[in-house]
Amino acid sequence: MAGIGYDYFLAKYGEGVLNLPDRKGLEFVISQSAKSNPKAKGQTPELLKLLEPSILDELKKSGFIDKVKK
Amino acid sequence: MRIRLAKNPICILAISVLYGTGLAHSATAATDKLNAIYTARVMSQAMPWIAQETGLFKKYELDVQLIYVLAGAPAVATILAGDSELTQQGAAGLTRAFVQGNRDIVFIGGIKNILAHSVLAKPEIKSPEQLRGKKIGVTRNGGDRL
Repeated sequence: MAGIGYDYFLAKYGEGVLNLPDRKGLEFVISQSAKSNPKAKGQTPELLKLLEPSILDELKKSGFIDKVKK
Repeated sequence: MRIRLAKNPICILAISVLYGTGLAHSATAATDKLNAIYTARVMSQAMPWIAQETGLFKKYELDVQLIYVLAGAPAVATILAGDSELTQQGAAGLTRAFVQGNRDIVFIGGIKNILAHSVLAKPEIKSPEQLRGKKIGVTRNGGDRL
């Protein structure tokens, strides 16, 4: 049963697997936070240093991610 | 932890596969013993327990204790308090923590970049536009279910 669910998930949502969180999504959360929190105004994912891509980059170079998504 | 993983590509593989959407890790973690948070018992967060059940953690010398914590603020508080080194959860709560000045965590990978949730409504509601201005029930505030 878990295998069926896993295969279904990968087929339907596989594009987002092993990617960093979407930048636009993060921007949206920051903008929503800015409505009630002045600290969020003018912030970006880069300024906040939200994302650390080095581990995923290494995985991409190894070819592992392409293998998982096939 | 990062240094050890860098020496062992296979470990990197295991951890990265298993922790997604709002994946974060403590900058201060330095051992193979990890308390890892997951916040929903759903397929999109099934990777950690699949790894545990199949023995992948042990295979790569990781002593991982999987801990279920309520999504949103409770999970964010748990990792910020240092009780966990990894968390798999929606990105919204963690991003808000960043905005507040908490910088000890960082996203290192994702599982999905869309909301896979469903909106259930009465039969007369035919489109999302009809929900504008109406009250919507959510399972929990502060997670990615808003």
